[in-house]
This record gives sequence, structure tokens and C-alpha cells, in this order.
Amino acid sequence: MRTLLNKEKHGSLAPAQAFLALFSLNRWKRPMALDPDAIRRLATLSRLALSDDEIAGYSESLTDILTVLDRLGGLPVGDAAPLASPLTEPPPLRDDIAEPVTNREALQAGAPATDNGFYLVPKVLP
Amino acid sequence: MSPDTLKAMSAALAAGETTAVALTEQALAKAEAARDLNAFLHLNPENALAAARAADTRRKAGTATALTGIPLAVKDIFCSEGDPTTAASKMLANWRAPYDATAVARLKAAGAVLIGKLNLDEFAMGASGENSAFGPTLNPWDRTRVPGGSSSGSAAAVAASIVPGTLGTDTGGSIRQPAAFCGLTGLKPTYGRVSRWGMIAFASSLDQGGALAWTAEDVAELFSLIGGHDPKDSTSAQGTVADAATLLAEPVAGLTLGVPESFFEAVDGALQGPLADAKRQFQALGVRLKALELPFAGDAVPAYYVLAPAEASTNLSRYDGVRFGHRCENPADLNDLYRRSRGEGFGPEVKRRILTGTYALSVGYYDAYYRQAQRVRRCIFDSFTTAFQAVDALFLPTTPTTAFRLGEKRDDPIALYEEDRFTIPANLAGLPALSLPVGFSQGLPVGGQLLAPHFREGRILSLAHAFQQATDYHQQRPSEQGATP
Repeated sequence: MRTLLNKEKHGSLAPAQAFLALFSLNRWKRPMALDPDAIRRLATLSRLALSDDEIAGYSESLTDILTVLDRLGGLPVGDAAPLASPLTEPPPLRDDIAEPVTNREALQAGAPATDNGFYLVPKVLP
Repeated sequence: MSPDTLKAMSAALAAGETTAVALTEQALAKAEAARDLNAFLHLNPENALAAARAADTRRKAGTATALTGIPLAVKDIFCSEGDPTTAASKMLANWRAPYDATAVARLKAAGAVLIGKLNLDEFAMGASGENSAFGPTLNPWDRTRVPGGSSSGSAAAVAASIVPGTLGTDTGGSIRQPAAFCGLTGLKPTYGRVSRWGMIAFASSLDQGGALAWTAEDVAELFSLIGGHDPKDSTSAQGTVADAATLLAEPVAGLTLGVPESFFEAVDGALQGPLADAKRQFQALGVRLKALELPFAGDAVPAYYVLAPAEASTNLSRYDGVRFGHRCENPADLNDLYRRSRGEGFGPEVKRRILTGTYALSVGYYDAYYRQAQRVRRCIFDSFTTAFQAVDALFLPTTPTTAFRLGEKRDDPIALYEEDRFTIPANLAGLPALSLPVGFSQGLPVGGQLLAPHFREGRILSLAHAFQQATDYHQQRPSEQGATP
């Protein structure tokens, strides 16, 4: 069952969810096909820059894939509870003891740009 | 032919007939000679020979293990300190791991000699070995065919007798399918059995490290070493793993093997004969066969291709061009940095799965796809639980076909996804599963698959070992023409 987001629910969303709603995948009609605009929206959500050729290709292949995934909707799962992990027992927790990170330089060595222990990114604030 | 199994090499070392340095030099030479296979992304002769010399010293000191001095290699999705660790992605092309994965650390502590890192489908996403950013791996049995994936190099390196054993990972069949295509034994342990610490994440509720080798004996040796609880992995199961001899010692006569006939009806005709012979062979070992069905297991593919991409889209969000990996040139702003770094760094299949996962997790589609897939996963889990009340283990085909030709399915993602239809159910249920060679069709290996209840790896290793005591499929090797170009 696809749930449609209503305005009341939208109003109570956390910022991240509100952001997702802003892009409003759910505003689409029933996605029999994921058209190029839909792929562009997914690419925006996924933080992926795609070329026009890639968008056209993914429109075709994801539409095909969705026809396979849509088989799920017809399965008689009844009231089966969702299963997120196949672990049969909760794993043991380790003692809550802080351990110093001793290889900070090694961990940062693979970063594209660092300065004095900080990661460098383009300016965020104007 | 020089010994190419772990057991034979270990015996030769113990008898003083060879040295770790000699075995390592031989492995490195074979790897160089078989460069065309593209099984290795990185060879490390200096470190390997240093480790071999240390292993020879350790053996003289009388503290050697079964793995001391044995040349091995790991899929390039396991971190190994100081080495390139790429996940076969441009995203990590220049990244070196700052620490060892737990599985790698355990191999090193046992004195194994790691000669290099093995090719794979990018971020373990693929079933052919063709999705690597560094080119496809070839199948040593027929260089025009795929070795399977995603642990493509892990299978090809053993099948070409470069090393006697390798580590791979299995999220939807990525150890078992290449093992089947390359005539090997490959074990995906119970979920949580092998630590995921230092194993680059694809789908965290499905990923599991394991081993490939010619025989169940050798796989048991590797599994007994890398398995067992690790406090660094929050999903690591409690308990230790028995030694190899114990793992292989479970009596098989009198066991009942469940055989879901609908799975066998779905395989290519060329595999029917070897699989039927394998059933008869198990019966000859005193194993009873019991026909049964596994409700919902036939619907594992759509469930998996919602859940795995959903988890991947989350896991791969860490590749942002900031902390590690590829960064685009001259980003205009932070969002441009994210988008172009990821667009340039990821390959086509990885992007496809991120998009699919993002879709499945989107507001409005979450219940229809992600939540429904989790419900189907529960039904599959329950289906196995019911089956194991009636039988001790299950026997299935590993793959629908033998190794297919390079390029044959490259542009058809759904055909490739369907390749995993017999292997995915074990991942969704977290069960241990093993592929073993059960015959040949037109010169290509055919694999059969054994599944057991959680934590019963010993049962399927024992079944495979007993099968291999009575057959010689695991002793077949690619022809010289196949092995050496």
C-alpha cells in the first residue's frame, strides 16, 4: 500500500523528512515508468550528478527493475512482522569504555583535503 | 603438478619439503604469469616475502599454525593496513586502509602470507565480475567466460592455482556463485559469524565474509580461523568457532537432506544431470533425501533488490568527497562537491543501486517496497525455520546456469539479478550456505549448494567433505591451455 503524504502529516515532519517531502516523490502519479524527471529527483536526493545519457539509461533500467520489485505487492505476507536483521540473538555489547584514537593522522591521510586535523570543504556560509 | 591445496602445502611445510619463501615466490610468479585473468588489483611482493621469511622463522621456532607460511589473498573489500583498498571503485582508487580488517588481522596473526588484493564487482555489486572499475576478471576454465561475482578475483586466483585459498564476501551469493562457476568450494557462514570490522560495507544486514578454496577441508581451516566473536563489530555473534577437524567430523550417515524440487526444475538443462547425480551420491553416503517446498524463497529476488540497495544507498552516503575517496575538481559549493564527487567516483551499477535504494526508502514508497520486502524477508526466514524442523540440511542448485560469456548479460541488470535467485534466500535468512563442485557440463564446473540452520557450518562442511571423499570433481583443474595463456 502506498501511503500518500497529507499536509497535516507533512507539517509535523522532522527537517530531513520535510526535505524528502519537498522533493515530493509521492506527488508523482503511479510510477509505471520512472521518467527522466523522476530519475533527476532521485539523483538529487542521492547527491549524484548524472549526465543526460545516464538519466535516460536509468529511466529505462529502473522502470524494468520496478516491474520485478512490484511482485512484492502481490505476496500473501499476512501480518508478518518486518525483519530487519537475521541475527537470532542480540549480539553481546562490549564494555562502555572510551578508547583514545591513536591513528588520527593515518585516518586522515586518505582525505582529499585536510588542515591541522580538520577536513576542508568549500565555504558554506556566505 | 605442485601442490595447490592449503592442506598439501601445509603438509609440505611441516615436512620441511618446502619453505614459505619458496611457496610465496611461486605464488607471485603465477600471479604475474596470469595477469590476463585480472584476478589481482594489487600485488605486494615486498611485504609478502617479508611475511614469508617471518613464517619460516616461526616454523623453525616450533610455533607454526596450519596457515603459517601459506600464501593467500583477500578480496579488495577487506581493509589491510597500508595497502590500497579500493572495493574495485574509482571512488577509492587512491585510498590506503589505515588498519586491518579483523579477518585479515587473524590471518596475519596465524602467519599466513597475504600476497595481494583481489578484483571484484565494484562495492561487491554484481554477479559476473564485470562491474569492476579496473576491468573484468576472466574465468580460468574458459577465458571467454565470467568467473562469477562479486568475489570474482577470489575465485579466479584459486581456480588458476595461484593461491590455495582466498577470502571473499557474500551479500547475495558473492562467494557461492563464483565458487560454482570456478569449480571451488565456497562458504558463506551464518550472518554475524565472521566480523564485518574493516570489511567495506555494502548491505550491513546481509554482508558476510567467508572463504573459497578447492576443498571443504581447506575452507574449514580458513573459517575456523576468521570466524568467532569480535567486539569491534556490533553485529558479531557470540561464541567461537570450532577447529577445522571438529567442523569436518559431524557424521553424515543418517542425516536428512531437504530437496526443494521447484528449485531444481528452474535450472538450465545442462545442470540437471550433475545435480541429479549429486543427490544420488548423497544417498550413497547414507543421507536421506526428503522432497519439500520453501514457501516465499522463490520470491527472494525482489525482496533482496529492495533491501540491499536500500542499505547500500545509506552505507555509500559516506563517500562524500570529504573524508576519503575521490573529490571532483573545483567544486562550486558543498552540494556540487557531493554530487560531482559521487557522480564521477561511482560506476554505473553502483549508481543504479543507490537510485533504487533511494526510491525504495522515499516518503510514499517506503511501505510499499522497503517495509513489504522486510515482511517477505520474515516469511522466508520462517519458511527455513519450518523446513529445518523436518530436515537437517538443504540441498539446492547454486546457480541457474554454468558460467556465461563475458558481456552476455552486461546490459541486462535483471538477468544478472536473477543469477542470484538460489543464493539470496540464505542471505535474507542469515543461514550458513556452501557451494561445492558436483560435476561438469561441457567442460564447465557445476555447483551444488548446502544450507544448514544458523551456526551449523560444521554440518554442511562435513556433508561437503564426505561428498569430496567419494568424488573427484574438486580435484579437477582447468587445462594448461585454460590456466596459462
